Amino acid sequence: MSPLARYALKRILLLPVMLFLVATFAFLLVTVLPGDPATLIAGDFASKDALAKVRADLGLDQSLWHQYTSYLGSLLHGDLGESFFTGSSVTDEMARRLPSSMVIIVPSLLVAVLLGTAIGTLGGYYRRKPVGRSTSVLISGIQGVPPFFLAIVLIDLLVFELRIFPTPTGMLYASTQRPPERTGSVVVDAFLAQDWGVLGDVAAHAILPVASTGIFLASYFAKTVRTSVTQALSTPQIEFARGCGLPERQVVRYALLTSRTSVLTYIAILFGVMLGASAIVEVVFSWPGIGGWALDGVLKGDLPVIQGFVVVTGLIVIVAYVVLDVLVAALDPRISY
Amino acid sequence: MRRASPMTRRADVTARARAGSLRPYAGALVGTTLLVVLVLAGFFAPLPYSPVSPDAGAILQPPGSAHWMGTDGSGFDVLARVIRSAHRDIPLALGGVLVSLLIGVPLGLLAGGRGRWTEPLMRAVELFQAFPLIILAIVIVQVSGNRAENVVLALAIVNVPRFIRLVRGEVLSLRESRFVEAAAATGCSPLRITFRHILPNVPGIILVQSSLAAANGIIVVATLNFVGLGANPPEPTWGSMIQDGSQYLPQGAWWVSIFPGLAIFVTVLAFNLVADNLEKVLGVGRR
Repeated sequence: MSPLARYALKRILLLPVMLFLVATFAFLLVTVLPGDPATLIAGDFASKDALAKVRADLGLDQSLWHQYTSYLGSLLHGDLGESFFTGSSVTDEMARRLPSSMVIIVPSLLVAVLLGTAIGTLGGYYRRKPVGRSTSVLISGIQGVPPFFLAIVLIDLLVFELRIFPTPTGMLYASTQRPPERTGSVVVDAFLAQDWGVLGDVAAHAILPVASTGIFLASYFAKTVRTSVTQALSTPQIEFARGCGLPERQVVRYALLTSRTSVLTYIAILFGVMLGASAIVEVVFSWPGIGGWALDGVLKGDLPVIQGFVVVTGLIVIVAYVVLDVLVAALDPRISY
Repeated sequence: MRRASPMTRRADVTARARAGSLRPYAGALVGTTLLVVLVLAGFFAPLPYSPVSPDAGAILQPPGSAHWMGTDGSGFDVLARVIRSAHRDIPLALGGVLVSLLIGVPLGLLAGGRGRWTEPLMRAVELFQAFPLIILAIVIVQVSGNRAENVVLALAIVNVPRFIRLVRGEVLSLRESRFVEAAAATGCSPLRITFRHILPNVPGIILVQSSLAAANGIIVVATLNFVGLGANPPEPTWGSMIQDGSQYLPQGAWWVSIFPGLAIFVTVLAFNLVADNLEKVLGVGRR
């Protein structure tokens, strides 16, 4: 086995351990923090008996250890429990909503990475020139506009003033003919039915949420790229490339290639941040994804929803991390593994 | 000849300051002044209208001579509420930074050591940073209650990883410098090296990072308020005002949301301005 494959295998074998840690963290998060879910559900003025009944129904009267083991046990079967309020299975609900979230998250990530790389490279290359300084101003400026506010500005301007985009009420127009239901996720169903009209509607609705999250996170990515490109440009390798008389285009390309590892690692961090930012934006656009749904669960004190969301996002982030780590190791011969 | 003086850092700073213009100083001063003015105005500015008691006779008035930023759906004066919010939002962000410094700097110093467990610790920090921390902040405030100290705690947790990483990075690079080598050669204990020789060299870059963290704190506080946490109505906050105003957008009443958003923008910009210029003044650019 090649050393790289062995490294990848080692990281993959560590996955269950990390998932166990995330699951424990999710459990502790909702049990250790003060606050009583039974009161949240039954209301502040519920009688003692009513509270006791709610606790018994939810299994909250059991010992913490018992709750923990039964939670881990059902997790092994892929069961994240049922929502306190709707009674629907958290696993099913998340599986149904994940594709809709991905419609926002993946393009946002793409926007953030492409825009961020462009701004960051310009900033790093023209560091002491007016162009470079204006990119710093641009980055600071974008950082001052949180995604939810950018969403509001875009909605006000492009939906209500100029009427270019559809109103922020979900993925589809009220009049859109839904595809035949197979998986429960409109996106996947439309894809299976090859219903391009529906997919087009989804795309039209997705543009503003994608812009809201993508542009904001591009500023963070741009900072990372600028730092690493600036560093790369002062390495002997670049000096040599210039000494050989390579055109500047080529030099910049080499500088970017040199900084690819730190940039790739940052994508994993960005991905996690993106899961959080898109949740807020999903709420603004009434998008039927997991983020908006989980946020709603958090605000209601729906513990299984909170736990489920923490476990699933944790799993996604961990897997993304492992994939990127292996990718970095494959791309960078200097890293020993 | 290579400079091997223990004062290398400081020599660098003065050399750069002498060669450079005064512009960074001016920038840092402008940013700081702006922030101080915002906070002082939040506490003491004489407001023409009360930020917490509405005028039912003036609902959704567009910006004009009576209400410079208009009024919202309940008849609150938007300008009064935008100004008043600063006295809560900015100190909360700063408080969050302070607590994350208290946690992050010692952990960063520890992680800069040579122990075998530093590598796992850093991986844990990295993983923690990759988690959607804004959701974590929302969970913390929701579950533990809508009080200011819980908001500060949530902010601190969101910002802790960056301080751990920053301090560790600094410690690792300082360990390689000549003056640490010299200190070790004269028989200083690792503890003495860490606290007497390394720690005094990190405040500059920590200060810069603190300002950036405060900017991020403003965004996080606003996000918490936007989803309806961290403040008790009718206490005004920028985030809750944006949320409240979003329902009036279809009627063309943009001012309720846009002005508090601009306040966030200006505040974050001020913190970033301070950070960028401090970096130049102190000569602590990332190496």
